Amino acid sequence: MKPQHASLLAADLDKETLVKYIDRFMMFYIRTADKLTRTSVWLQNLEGGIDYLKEVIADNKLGLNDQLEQEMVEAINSFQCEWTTALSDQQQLSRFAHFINSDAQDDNVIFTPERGQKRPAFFDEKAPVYQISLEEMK
Amino acid sequence: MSKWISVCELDKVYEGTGVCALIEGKQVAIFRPTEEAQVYALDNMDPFAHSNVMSRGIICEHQAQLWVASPLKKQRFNLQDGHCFENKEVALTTYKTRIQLGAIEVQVH
Repeated sequence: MKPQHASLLAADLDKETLVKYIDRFMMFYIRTADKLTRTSVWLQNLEGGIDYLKEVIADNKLGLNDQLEQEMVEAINSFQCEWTTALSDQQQLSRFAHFINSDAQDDNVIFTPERGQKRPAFFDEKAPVYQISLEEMK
Repeated sequence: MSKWISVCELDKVYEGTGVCALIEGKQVAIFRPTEEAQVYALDNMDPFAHSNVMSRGIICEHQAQLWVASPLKKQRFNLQDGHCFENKEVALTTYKTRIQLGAIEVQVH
């Protein structure tokens, strides 16, 4: 991949048109690009290049623009933050606990200070922990 | 005298995953390979990394046997007897399990 200057799709747009153009651009890209293709590579390989893209997005050459905008609306409406969803779901949250049957934490996770910050302790820095059962000592 | 210790309901363990239970001060990883009422219990500590992470391992089938791969460096441990596929000198302690009235019970002694 060679670095190169950006090419101009449009200029001096008001905010509403700008957002519309970006929506159309994104959805057109999603429809036509191969998986995991960067937008720059996609544009390079697009027949007609930036001029063709201009015609599609600004002049509605393919008559797709309403559809593209609608798809973006649907994408925005169906968006959810998976972290937030997980954090508000008790069933999901329980999977982040260390123990299924206790609120205790893993006593083997120990941090040690280093240069004013903390890092996990190395194995040989941990003091051995002995489990002593009073029952067994009787 | 060995005794059965109730850990949690079977339903709390999703099929194909494991959980960690604290049983008399021991960390025990409990795995449920399928939706069947069959679980396996092993030490939760990865003997290579000395970290309590085995319950987060991935369950796999290899040579017609069930194994759990450590989430850290992927060494496989046999769910039946705890021996390590990659290193014959290492093994995890296994514990007896049973399902009683929908609850998982483990014997640690």
